[in-house]
Parts: sequence; structure tokens; C-alpha cells
Amino acid sequence: MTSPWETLRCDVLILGSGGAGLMAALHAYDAEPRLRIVVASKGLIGKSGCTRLMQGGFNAALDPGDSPERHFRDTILGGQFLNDQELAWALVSGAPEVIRRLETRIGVFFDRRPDGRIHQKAFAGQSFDRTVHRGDLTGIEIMSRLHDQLFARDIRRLDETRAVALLHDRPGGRVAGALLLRQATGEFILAQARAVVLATGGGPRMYTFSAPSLEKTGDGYAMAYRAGCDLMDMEMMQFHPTGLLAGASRLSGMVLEEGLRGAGAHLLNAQGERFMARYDPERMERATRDVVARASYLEIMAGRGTAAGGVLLDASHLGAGFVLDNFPGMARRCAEVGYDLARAPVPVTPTAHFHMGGVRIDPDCRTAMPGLLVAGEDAGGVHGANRLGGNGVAESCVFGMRAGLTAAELCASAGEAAPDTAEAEAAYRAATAPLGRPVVSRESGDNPFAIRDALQRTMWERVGLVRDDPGLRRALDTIGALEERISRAGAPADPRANLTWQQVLDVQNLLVAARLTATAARYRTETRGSHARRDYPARDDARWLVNIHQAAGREPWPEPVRLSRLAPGDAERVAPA
Amino acid sequence: MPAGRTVSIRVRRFDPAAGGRRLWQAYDVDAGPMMSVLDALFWVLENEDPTLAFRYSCRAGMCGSCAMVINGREGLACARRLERLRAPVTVEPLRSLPVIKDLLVDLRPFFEKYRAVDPFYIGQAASVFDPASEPAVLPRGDAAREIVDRQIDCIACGACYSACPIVSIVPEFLGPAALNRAYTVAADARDAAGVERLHRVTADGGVFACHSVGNCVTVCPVGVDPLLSIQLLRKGAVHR
Repeated sequence: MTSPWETLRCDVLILGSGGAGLMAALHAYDAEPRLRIVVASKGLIGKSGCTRLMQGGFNAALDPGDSPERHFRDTILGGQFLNDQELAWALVSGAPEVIRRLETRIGVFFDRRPDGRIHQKAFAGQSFDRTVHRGDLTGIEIMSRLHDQLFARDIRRLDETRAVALLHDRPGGRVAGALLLRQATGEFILAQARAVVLATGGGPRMYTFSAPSLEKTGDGYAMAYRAGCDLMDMEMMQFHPTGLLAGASRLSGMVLEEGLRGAGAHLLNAQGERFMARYDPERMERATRDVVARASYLEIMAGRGTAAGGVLLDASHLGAGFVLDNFPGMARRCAEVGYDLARAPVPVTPTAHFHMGGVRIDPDCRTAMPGLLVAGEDAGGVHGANRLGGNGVAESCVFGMRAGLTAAELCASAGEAAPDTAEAEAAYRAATAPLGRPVVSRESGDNPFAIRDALQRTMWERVGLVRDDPGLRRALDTIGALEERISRAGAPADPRANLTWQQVLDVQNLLVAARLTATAARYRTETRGSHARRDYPARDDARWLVNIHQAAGREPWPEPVRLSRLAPGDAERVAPA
Repeated sequence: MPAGRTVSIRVRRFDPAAGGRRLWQAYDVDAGPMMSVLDALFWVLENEDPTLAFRYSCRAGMCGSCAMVINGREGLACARRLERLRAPVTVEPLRSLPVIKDLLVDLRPFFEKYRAVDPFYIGQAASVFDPASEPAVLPRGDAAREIVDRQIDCIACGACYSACPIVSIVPEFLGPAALNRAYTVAADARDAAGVERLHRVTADGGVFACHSVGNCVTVCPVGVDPLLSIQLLRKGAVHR
């Protein structure tokens, strides 16, 4: 049989083109310009992914009154001590350098204070105003400039080319490449690489309301899990408190940025009460996202939500001029669907926003699988049980850079290894199986869109902001039934630009991420950060200062958190123990 | 789902397998409140026609993946609400770019021209490691930054490129987005590049090929004024 794919050999293969992917590509290249670097992205390079959607900003301890130690403390307290503290330290200690790098090498320009230095604004859960930003659409500036820099370097781009599987070498001891699919033509590429950087972004699109870009469907988690990686903290799903409610539009769930609450916007229930007074009277709307999102959810569940099923975000008392000057992007977004953010309350809902869990890495982005590096949302451990606003893009950029540098280093020593073609053939057969099977209607059976909708409902209702054992068990049963159904789903036979086919592959991956999430959520019988159990409402440090790990072919297992720099109750300690 | 109404949309289809003919196909979309053109296309894909092809990512006007021609005018499908459009709503792929399938166009010519202006910032050799070193100190509201700041939010969606009549008749014309980027990077006080970038944009296919039609300004979904950047480059407003 002739190969059903073309082959490609490179040194560094980067999967994903958000902040992590492009930082990896640029820094691997700058470390060693002779490397053959390939960036493959499910969407258009520089456009897809969530870094671009990032609004509020980037946390970095730049001010002399601030410090990485202080940023670290906020990050660990926000994460409720579940963070891998060495990863968190790598984040906070690397963030200032990355900001300087973005400004002086990449060309990003952040907003300035009146004295001409970089402005930093207030974000929830932080003891210092340390969020660097460009207006309220910071991600567009970072991504556009990173993308511009690609043009200055000899880096091969594969736009709209998703990875369908990571591939091992024949002995199976390391990752040696990936099977790629060009979505426009339906052609496959067997890519061999000395280092693979997985940076596809997590993307909790398995919930009814979710914030990420539409193409983010847990692809990285699913590929890493199938390839034998260890994933941790998958129960830790962040819900952002203020997702816009936009009728029947997919715009619903898109975030209205945290800076609004930082600047003093209120959250009101349908009766006009500032309900945060009941949940966190001290911090009110500036409490961390887990607390505020859960409070909104409980208000809605208690029947105090609006007719549209949400609560209200009210910035009108800040003054229309202030809102329009400081949040023009948010005001535009609201105006598009008929809301006036500057003058009236806007309906919002908690929205699945960010997966703290992911592949276990070390501070250089290495995994247990030689040849595979992971950066950004695909990685776990940096944020623990809850991520602070402004730490997400910081993670993508800091660890993306580190992954690029590590990849360049690996290439200096790693030999070439050919991917196992039998593994590639199996992945090819699995990926192409839906082609030509009948596409049944949504009502009558195994339609991929109907399966996605059913998954989203189940996750929202049973693996959402408040969970319990019976609900999680039912969710896992439903996920099992949906796994069956997706294995029968069909797509038109022509593989070219076949969105239905891509949807089948997407839902397969969403189901992997969903199962990992629900399984870990059932395992953790306490409430911590983003994970709230109705049947175990208290945080239990005596028993649950552990991370829950999962890998294919074995039961989930706990590992104690290493409190190497800070333990609950510590006043000062941050230097490594 | 709230009670919807039916909105007719007519989609310009192109199937590479069917001899390259471009046909109009009509669909009746079950339109719920606040649905965008992008939502309508998803409705068709998910309920009526699993072969429809289009491009999407953020669905919130930030990525520029879903630019197309809607009722004769370029825009982002995710940002145009059905409620505000005259029905039947016509949807076509961007102009002056090869069509891959249906509404999916090949953006490579657009990005090749973007690349041709050296769109990347070239920094001075400042230390990034010294915590005391500060990136450029530029007061807020600095006059030199003011125009750049307004023009820098381009999301490279291709709407202006499609709407520009010069692009459609002068193949070497770089087009509004590329020239706008050339201006913003050249006018960035921090940029350390020499005059080469400016030579390129004043050569054939550069700013002097523009006839100031202004469609680029009208269609830009994020409020950038590429014509202003082109005029500033023409006037030699950027000095090196």
C-alpha cells in the first residue's frame, strides 16, 4: 500500500499557535537559527487559540514596591496550595523578563502611566496592582506582534493543520513526531521531529457556557492522554464569573473582563442586591474567580437569577465616561448585542473558562515522555485549584519561551528517531473512519453536533460549579454512552474542508477531557478552589493536599503536593526549602 | 431556545469537486435572538447541510478568521447580527482571494503581501535580563504614539483587502492592511529598522498605487483607518 500521507522531517514540531506556541517557535529559533522549526495550528496561525482573546492583562512584578515573592504568594493562596510550587515560582520569577522581552524584542506596546512607564492595574485576588495590559484587549496586541515576528524568521508554518495523534518511536520510549491533518485538503502528514512542543491550549468547550475560541476542544489533553502522559488536577476547571449572556448566539459565555470588577463594578441578582455580601463580605466582587463564580451560580440556583438565567454586571455607577475610556472593547462587545455597559446592567453567567489541570511538566516543560514538551493550558500544576486573572497569558508566554529554549537544547543532543508507522496507520484509520458514514439528523441518532450538545448539558449540570457523587456518577455514565455514539458518527465522504468530520474528531477529544475532569472530580471528596462538592463542602488540608493524577491504563492516583516554598499558615517562606 | 423566526440566507457555494461552479444556495435559518451570521452558518451546518465550509475561531470579533462579504459588504460573520440585516442575507467569500471551498478563502496572497513590508518590529539591543532596565519610557498620550495606537489594532482579517478596488485590478498592490502595518511599525519610536521598509512601501505596488477610494476605512471591523496610514506614508510623515 502506498502511504496515505506525505512525510515531513524537522527538528522542532510545535502544535498550536497561541502565546505558548509562538513564544516557543521564536525562542527556539533565536536560540539556534539552523533548527528546522515547524508550527502546526488547527486554526490560522496567530489567530486561533485563546491568548488572542485575553482581555485583562499579564501579571508581572515590575514595580519596585512589588516582588516575585509577593506574586508567588498570591498565586499559591489563589491556587489554595495545590500548585506545583516550582512551576509557580518559574512563572512569577520569569514574568518580568518576559514582559521586557515582549516590549523590547517582539514590539508589543503596553499601556503607560502618566510618567511613561508601564501601567499596571488591579485584578482580583492580588495584593498589588500588577496586571500589565493594553486597554482591555491585551491579547490582540501580544498575538499580532508575535505573529509579525514569525515573518522575520525562517519558520515553516502549517496553518489549519491539526495534529490527530502524537507518535512514538518504534520501541515506544519517546515521542518522535505526530500525525497531522491538513483540514483544507484532507491530506495527512507524518511529521518526524526531535522535539515536539504540545501547546494546543486546553479549552473547556465541553460546557454549555464556555469562553474559549470555538476550535479549542481538548485536543492536547486527548493526544497526551492517548500517548501515555500523566495528567494532573483535571478536576480543577475554572469558571469565570462574568460570561456575557447573548441569547441564542455562540457569543454567549465570552468573558467580560475581570478589570471591570477590579475597577469597582457590582454584581447584582434579579432583585438588585449585591449578593457578594452574602458570600465574601470583605472582598465582595473582587474575591477570586472561584468564589465569585460559585456565588453567582448559587444565586441563580436559588431562584434569584434573571429571566435569561444569569445575574447582572453593573458598571454604570463608575460613570459612562470612565467605562468607555477604560473598557472600550467590552463596551463594544456589549453594544453589539444591544447592551449598554456604560449605563446599564448587563446580563452575565458563570462560564467555563480555563482548565488548571493538564499534563505534568517540570519547570523546563519536560514531561515523563522524552521528546515531548508541554506549555500553556495543556500543562497542569502552575495554578493549583484556581488561576488568578492575569496569570494565564503569563503562563503561556513564560512557559512557551522555556519550552522553545528546552527544545533547542534537546535538539543539540537528541538523535533522530523515526515515528512508528504502525502507530501512525492506526491513528490514520481511526481519524478517517467517520468519512462516508451517513450523517444522521440531530434528532435521530449519532449526530456529532447533537452528541456535543448532550455532553455540554451533562458537564454543565453535573460537573460544573457545584458537584456531588451521584451527579458525577451519572455524568460518567452519560459520557460512556456518548463515547459509544461518537464512535458511530459519520461525516460526508469528501475530506476537503469537511467541518462535520472535524467536529467528530473534536467531540472525541472533548469526551476524553470530560471523562478526565469528571473522574478526578469524583475522586476529590473535599471542596477546594474551583472544585466544590455539595457532599463535601469543606477544604480538608489534612487529607487533600494532594494532586490527582491520571494516565491511560491505570486507576487515578494521588500524590502529595510538595510545599517546597510555602505551606498553609506560613507567614513568609518563599525561598526554596 | 426562545421562539425564533425564520431568516433566509443565500450562500455563495463553491465545491472544488463539482467542476468549480459557483452557485447560490438558499437556506431558511431558525434564527434565535442575537444570532450572528456566523451562528446562522453553524445552524445550516448542524441542521441542514453537513458539507458547508467556512472559517471561524473566536466568535467575538477578535481573531479575524470569519471575514466574508455579507449583503455585499465585507465584515466579520460573528459581528453581524441577523436582526440588523436585510433579508435574504447574502453571504459570499472574500474577493480577490482564491476560494478553497464555499466561504473558505486562501489567505496566502494576503499574508505574502503583509510579509513583504517587513511587518516585524526590530528592537534596540536593550537588556531583557536587568530588572532595573525599563522598556521605553513614553508618556501616555505622547503625540508620536497617538496615531500608532489607533491604527495598531488591525486583526488582519482581510476585509479591507477584499473591499479595495485597486487590489482587484493591480495584482502587485500591497493592499491596505499591509501598508497600515508598515506605517505603524515605521512610526513606532522604538523601532530600530532603517529606511528599507519605507523604500518598499513607496515603490511600485506601494502607497502611490492607492487611489484613496476609502472602502478599507468603511469596512474595517475594528475601526482602523488604513487610508490615513497610507496618506501619512505618502506625505513622508515617517522620518528615519
